Amino acid sequence: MDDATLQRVAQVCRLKLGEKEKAELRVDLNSILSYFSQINEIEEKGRELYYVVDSSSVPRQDVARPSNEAEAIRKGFAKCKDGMMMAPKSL
Amino acid sequence: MFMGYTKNVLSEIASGKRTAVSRVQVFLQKIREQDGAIGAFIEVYERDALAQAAAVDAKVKAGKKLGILGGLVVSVKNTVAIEGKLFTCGSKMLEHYRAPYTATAIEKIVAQDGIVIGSTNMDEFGCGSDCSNSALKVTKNPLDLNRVPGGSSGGSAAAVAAGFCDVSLSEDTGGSIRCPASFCGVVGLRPTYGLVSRYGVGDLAMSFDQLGPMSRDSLGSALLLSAIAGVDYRDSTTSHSKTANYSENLGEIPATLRVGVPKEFFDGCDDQVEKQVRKAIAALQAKRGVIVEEFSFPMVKFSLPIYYLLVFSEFASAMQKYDGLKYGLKWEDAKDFNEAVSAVRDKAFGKEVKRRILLGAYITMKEFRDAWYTKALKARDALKTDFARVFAKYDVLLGPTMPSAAWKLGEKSHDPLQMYLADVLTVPVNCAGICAGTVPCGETTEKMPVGIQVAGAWNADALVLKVMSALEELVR
Repeated sequence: MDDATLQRVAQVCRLKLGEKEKAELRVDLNSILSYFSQINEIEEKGRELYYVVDSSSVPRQDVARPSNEAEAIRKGFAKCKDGMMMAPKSL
Repeated sequence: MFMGYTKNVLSEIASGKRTAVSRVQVFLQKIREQDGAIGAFIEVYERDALAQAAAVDAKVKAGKKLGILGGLVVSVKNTVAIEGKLFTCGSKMLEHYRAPYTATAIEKIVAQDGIVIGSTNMDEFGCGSDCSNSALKVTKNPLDLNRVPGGSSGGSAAAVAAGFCDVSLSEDTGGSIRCPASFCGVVGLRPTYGLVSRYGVGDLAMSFDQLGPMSRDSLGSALLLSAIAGVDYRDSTTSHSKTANYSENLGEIPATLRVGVPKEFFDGCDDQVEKQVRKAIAALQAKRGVIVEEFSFPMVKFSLPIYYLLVFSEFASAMQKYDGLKYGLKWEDAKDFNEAVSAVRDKAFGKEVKRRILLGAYITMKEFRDAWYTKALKARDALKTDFARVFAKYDVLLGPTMPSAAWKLGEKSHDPLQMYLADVLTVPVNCAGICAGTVPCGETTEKMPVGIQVAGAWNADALVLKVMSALEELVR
């Protein structure tokens, strides 16, 4: 992973890294990836296993249940106005 | 070793010989006096625990039957939500955050008359193997305060080992129950994936995470598992398989037990650890009907890259929700959305968390995905298939839980790869989603505990617990 790639990845992850931190992380990340490149020794076959359970998109019963958590969740908002979460401006 | 501990506690409470309230008071006093040096707890629920204990005592006095946890005092890894209580996951991101609801597992514990005494410290979002990555405090091994308790559930293991509680509800993604249980000389079990609901649990990697028990003896873990296991409509990955009474006939292993010992489990293992584990295996082998066979399981050596590459990917995704907007550390005014969110995340996340987020994002990016992520997904399928083949021949696998005993504080903090390598024996079962537990089987010349790991096939949790209990009896 070179500097430019690390910078791009950091932007994707929304992590603001300082120059010293970037330099240290690049050494760590490359050392880790180098060790884990032994994955290439495995013969590629079989399916891509995302879940260890066979079920997926399991529906639940269509039963209405009380949900009184909205107010508790709103209490966690960093900034709240008229019951709505406020976010930093995008434009 | 704590043989007979849980049975004695339950008997004392049920008979009225000791009240649950007096037991909780003793634990609280001990925590006040000793946890300053150990650092197991994030928050202690003094009032709630005493109230729950009083309810248990009232039931006993009224002649009512107690639930299966019968007044056992439970600590909880701080990645499990309890309404109104701090839910930190060991991170500055959630340092002051209080959960808006309670996890299913906690509801079940309370319903079975377990008494929840407090939350325990952990590596930040489960990222670590010695608890040194907690952003909130340091936890030390109660058996040697210069050593680590293991991780990421270091606080839970320390709390059980120090006698601050009877059992602990903890969580295991790649060994986070078994590693600290082994290092602190207690019992721990990582159940089959899907056996326990993850509703209300902070995620590290959703296809690996699983709640499980830690305790002083196998009975404690069996009872806690019995209490928390079962399908939950709020977690669609929970299994509809019938759950067992895991404490039934504990210690009674089948008339014929086929034990496999993968040779690779001893590669790179500390001599003293190997000696104690082999002694325990020999003791089991001496029992009538037990057949022990060493065999080669080469695919196991790829477990570490398979595990970490997939965990990095799932973790990067899991961490996206922490943006300073909805909960946790709050965003401050900045140039724009990206600046504001990036600033919060940079401030809140520790080094290891950042490493994993960056790696997870990198290996799932379109141009790099096939070389890393796709390969790891296919390799996981191959490993799962290999485990199924192995368990067609053997009932359980035995080996060391960890390649060494607990190391000194700070010894591996500065080298992430060294930390990852310590997980080499615990991660294989997580890749396959199967169960494994650890019991103490001896100690090193420096008096640090050594754990023996018992792994079982999918849904073989009851058998694994039986073998763990049998080993407990043999090595005491």
